[in-house]
Amino acid sequence: MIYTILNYLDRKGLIGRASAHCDIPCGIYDPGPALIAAVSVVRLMDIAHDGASEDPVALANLRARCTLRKEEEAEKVKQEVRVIWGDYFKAPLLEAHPNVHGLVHAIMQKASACKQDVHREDGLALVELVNEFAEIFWQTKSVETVRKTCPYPPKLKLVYPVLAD
Amino acid sequence: MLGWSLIRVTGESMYPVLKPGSFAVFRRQAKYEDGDVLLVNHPRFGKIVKRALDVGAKTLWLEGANTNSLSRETMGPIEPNQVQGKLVYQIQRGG
Repeated sequence: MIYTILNYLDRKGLIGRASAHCDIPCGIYDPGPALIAAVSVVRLMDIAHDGASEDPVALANLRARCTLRKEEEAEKVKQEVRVIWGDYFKAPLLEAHPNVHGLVHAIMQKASACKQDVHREDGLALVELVNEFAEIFWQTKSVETVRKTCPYPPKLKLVYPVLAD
Repeated sequence: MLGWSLIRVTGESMYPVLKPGSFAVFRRQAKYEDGDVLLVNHPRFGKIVKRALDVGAKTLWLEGANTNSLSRETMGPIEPNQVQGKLVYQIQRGG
């Protein structure tokens, strides 16, 4: 009751603010790069499987490139998610979303599986896990999300924030 | 307001003592002690909430309640007249 009244007065600009400053005040985090990297993993698996060159050397070159880039994109997924999990998620958010630790661990494991092999189902599972992570992230910002088909191959459903102007 | 201040806390560095978004009431004191949660007019960081440390006659130091906080060295020593008050009451969501 008292909190509600104070909250109302605060929204009217009648209450000052004091910061409990944290170490790095940049506050810029976004799961978008992790999602794009996860989709790229699937795309690179598809290209590696579909490679239809009759020149065996060209085909080996294509698959080598795909494997290299897949390794890098999967690692990028891990890096991007680790930073958000480690730097952005602090105690109050972890209390509200206690499943984040398990979800992040699952992303790490699945990204490693994508590096080790070329099973498309692993890539799809990775995208789904990062989608779930993105939904939780935007919940913490009180931003609604929507799942839409990305406008490029492999045309998977991705989580996008519904941003106000 | 006669030595009393009501503010809303932003940031997580005083968690779990003060949750982000909670309201806090501070009262000016004649002197402060180690461990007091203070509202401070900091020359670099503006109005901040931190815990008192190594309180002396002419200076005192500040620290957060967890490892996310600015370090005491970053905030540096402050003078007692920069302290606006000591935490005496807080109101959290659901409280």
